[in-house]
Order: sequence, then structure tokens, then C-alpha cells
Amino acid sequence: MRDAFDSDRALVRRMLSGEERAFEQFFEANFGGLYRFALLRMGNDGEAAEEVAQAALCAAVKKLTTYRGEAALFTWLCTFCRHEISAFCRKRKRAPVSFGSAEEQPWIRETLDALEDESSRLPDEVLSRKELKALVREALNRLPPHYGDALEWKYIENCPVNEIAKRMKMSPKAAESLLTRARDAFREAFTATCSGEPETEME
Amino acid sequence: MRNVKHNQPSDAPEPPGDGENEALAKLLRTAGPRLDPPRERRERAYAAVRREWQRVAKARRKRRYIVWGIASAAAAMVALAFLPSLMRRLNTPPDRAVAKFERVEGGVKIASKDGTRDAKAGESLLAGESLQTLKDGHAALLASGGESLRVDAEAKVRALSETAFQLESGRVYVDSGGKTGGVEIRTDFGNTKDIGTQFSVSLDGKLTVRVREGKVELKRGDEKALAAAGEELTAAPKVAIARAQVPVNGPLWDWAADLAPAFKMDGKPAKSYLEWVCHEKAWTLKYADAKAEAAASAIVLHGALESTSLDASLDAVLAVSGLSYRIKDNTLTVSQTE
Repeated sequence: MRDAFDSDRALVRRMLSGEERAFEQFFEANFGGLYRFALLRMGNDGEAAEEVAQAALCAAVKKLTTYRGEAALFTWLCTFCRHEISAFCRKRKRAPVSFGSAEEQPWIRETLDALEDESSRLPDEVLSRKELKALVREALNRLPPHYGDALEWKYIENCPVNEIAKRMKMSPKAAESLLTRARDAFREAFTATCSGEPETEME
Repeated sequence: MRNVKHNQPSDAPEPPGDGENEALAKLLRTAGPRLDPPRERRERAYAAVRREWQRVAKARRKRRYIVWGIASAAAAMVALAFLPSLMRRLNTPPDRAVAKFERVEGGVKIASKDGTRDAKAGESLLAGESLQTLKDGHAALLASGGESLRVDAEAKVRALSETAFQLESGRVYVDSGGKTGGVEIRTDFGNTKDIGTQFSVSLDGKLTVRVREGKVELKRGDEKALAAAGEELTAAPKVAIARAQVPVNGPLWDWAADLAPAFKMDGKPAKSYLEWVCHEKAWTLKYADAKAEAAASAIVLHGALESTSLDASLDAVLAVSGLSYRIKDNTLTVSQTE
């Protein structure tokens, strides 16, 4: 989304001018997401995820002037994170966890159908699968952090839209529209994750 | 407190979905809330990335200055006399944060050169700014070095640097997390420096330093005094520093324990939570038997603690963990619920 990228560009400009609050905003908005992004790919090794997420942010900070706002800032940071994961695994002769294509599995097909067609129901045996949790988390990790926040508040904390709007410091109408975009982005990310597609740029 | 549960299957009814997005809601609830990185990891990364960013921002400011200087060589000649002070300003990062508010309760104001504003959790206290707690106000801050600084009601503290704070009135508590010399509390009656400790400093016509753990050095002019755990030093004008015994737990310290930043319990064993409570309250932790200890290690907590007193959080967490406790002689004994 153009507006989102504009605000990302503005944040980077403020960081480059040395504004402390801009740095805090940048770190708070992105470290958690990058850490989770790395954690899933490092087999839940928290120490490795910390090292990789920190290295990715340091590398990105060095290259801040090259951020042009053509993708969401978080997506741009993920490219650094992927690079750091590869370097980490190469150095330690480890294989990163990959999300190969799972699309052909019947339970995945059922899940994708239920996401597309609201009349389909998700059976409990599908919901209880460990692999499904990992795929959902990976899909959430692919979203810009504010989409993840909105979905989590709405569907896990059961927050009303007004409360989400308050937390996001926006109008209820804008929050509703953000939720719609976040749901679409999640469906897209989940489908891509299940088919083993590499991350695409999320608006 | 919200969403506190342990990792056994819950019989609680599923919260209502969104109707038209039922499948998506179910998927998200199945995966559960995203885990936040542990506080220590976040803090380590924050410090490292911030250092890198400051280096980049500083280099950029210098580079921009050089470019500007070349383009304006003639003007620069005129301005030469002012260059040293200009360079000093360029090398000083603006808005230097020295601590971050982790908890803000009631009225807490920040006074800066731009005016006064209400403090909010998550915001930074910058060098040179003062924080003032009102009658109903309390604040807990995380200093840059990882120390916890808690400010009681009706106190005024000025941030001098990452490691020094001026107490102008009221009472503060410092938990250095076991590090030495992390934070210095300065007052008009003398300065205190910790030696790996938990201590409080209060001003009411005199300076009182109480040590709960580790040691604290109090310096007033050429006069120096070292206080150990369970000791209190008092420095009043024109009187030698006095020493007395003081309890390390109980009402004198409860305000600070209740201001402790919420324990990030998601994904952690109940045992870690209990150890944290005992650290905050200066209690000894005991298990009634090996089974209770094994259970505390095995139970993984989920959810988050909202701002609440430590005693209330203990009741809530143990209730959902199938554990019970009793407190006697400053010892917390944990057993399995029958």
C-alpha cells in the first residue's frame, strides 16, 4: 500500500537524521517480527534467531540510505534476514528449516478451501495438526507487523474494531479497512506458504 | 492479567468468531498469539542495533557537513571561528535516550526544554529531562544498561546520563540485575553507587539509602560509607553519616516490588516466574517436595500479566498452574494442589 510505504520512507528519513524516537519506533515495530521469522527457520533455536535478527537489523541500518520505499520496510528487512540465515547456516554447516510445498496434502487442501469458501468447515483433526500451526505462524511472519497485530487483536484477543482503532491510532473505518487488507494478505501469505513459494512483497 | 493459562488442554468455550471469517479465525486461534522475543534477547539486540544506527547517523551527519563545507568554502572561512563548538554539536546525538518507561501508573509528567508532557509506557526519557510523579503516580524505567529504576509517588528525578540520575525529591529504587556500578543516584546530600544490588534512595530533609542485596557506596564530599544488605545509611546536613539495620523485605520495599515491570511469562516455565517473584520480594523459594518442583519446571505459562500487584499475580498464576503456596518467615513454599 502506497501510504504504508510513504510512512516507512518517512521513518527511515527520520532515522537517518538521527532522531532517537524514530529508531525506537523502527526497532519496536520490526525486531519481534524478524526474530519470529528467523526462529521458524532456525528450528526454534532462540539464540540463533536472536543473532540472525540482530545481524539483519545491523546490516539493514548500514544500508538505510538504499531503502527506496518500493516495498514495505518489513519486507525489505526480511531480505537481510534471509541473507543472514543463509550465512549463519553456511558457517555452522546447518540446514535452515524450509517450507516445502505441502499443497498436495489433503488436509492442506481442506484448509485452503475453507479459507476461500466460507461455507466449508475446518475439521478438528486438521486444526490439531502441529504442521498447521507452523504454517499459520510462518504466514503471519510474512505479513507486515501491523497486519499481524490487527489479526491477533481481532481473532485471538477478540478485540472490537473500536479498540483496534484506538490501539492503531486510527478511525474505526480505517481499522475495518486495514483488517480487510490484513485478512486478504494473510490468505495470500498462507497459500504461498503452503505451496512453498518464496515470500512476496506485502502491501 | 489476561490470557493466563498453562499448556494443558482447555475446556473453556471457544471465543466467538467473526462469522464470515470463521475459518481464518480458527486458524489464527489454533496457532495462538505470536511469541514476543524474551526481554534479555530484545535488550541485547536493541543495544547492538542502536550502536550501529548511532554510528551510521553520526557518520552521515559528518559527511553532510563536509559536503556542505566544500560547497560553501568561502562562507566556511568566515565561520571558522565557530567551528569547534559547531563540531561538538554535530557529534552529540540529539534526543539521547537514557531510559525507557516500562510502567507508568497515575500521574507522571516529563519536563523538558520544550515543555511538560504526560509520560507513557514505552516512551523514552531523554538526557536532561526530568520526570515527576504526582500523588497517585508511579513509574518503572529500564535504564540503557539494563538496570530497573522505580520511582515512588511524589518524587522528582532528572536524567543526567545513561548512568546517572539526580534525585531531587521523593524515593527511588534500583535493581541493577547483579551488575556493578550501573547506576549512580545523585542528591544534594551525597551520591550513591551500587555494587551489584537492589537498593532504595529517599530524600526528606535528609538522604536515606537502604540496601536489600549487594552493596552500595555513599559518597558525600570526602566522606565515604559502604552499606551491605540489610543496612541503612542516613546522611543529614552537618551530621556524620549514620548506619542502622533495616529489614530486606516487607512494607518498606513492597511499593517497589509492586512496580516491577510485568514478567514476560509467555513460553516460560512456572519455575522461572516463581524465581522472579522471590527476587522481587527478597523471599527464599522452597518446594514442598520433588513433585512440586518437577511440576513447576514442566508447566509452561502462556499469556501476559497486565499491570497488577505482585501478590495478585502470584495468586492468579499459581491458580491456573495447579500449584498452591504459603509464605512464612519470608520463604515462599510451593506445593501441588490436592
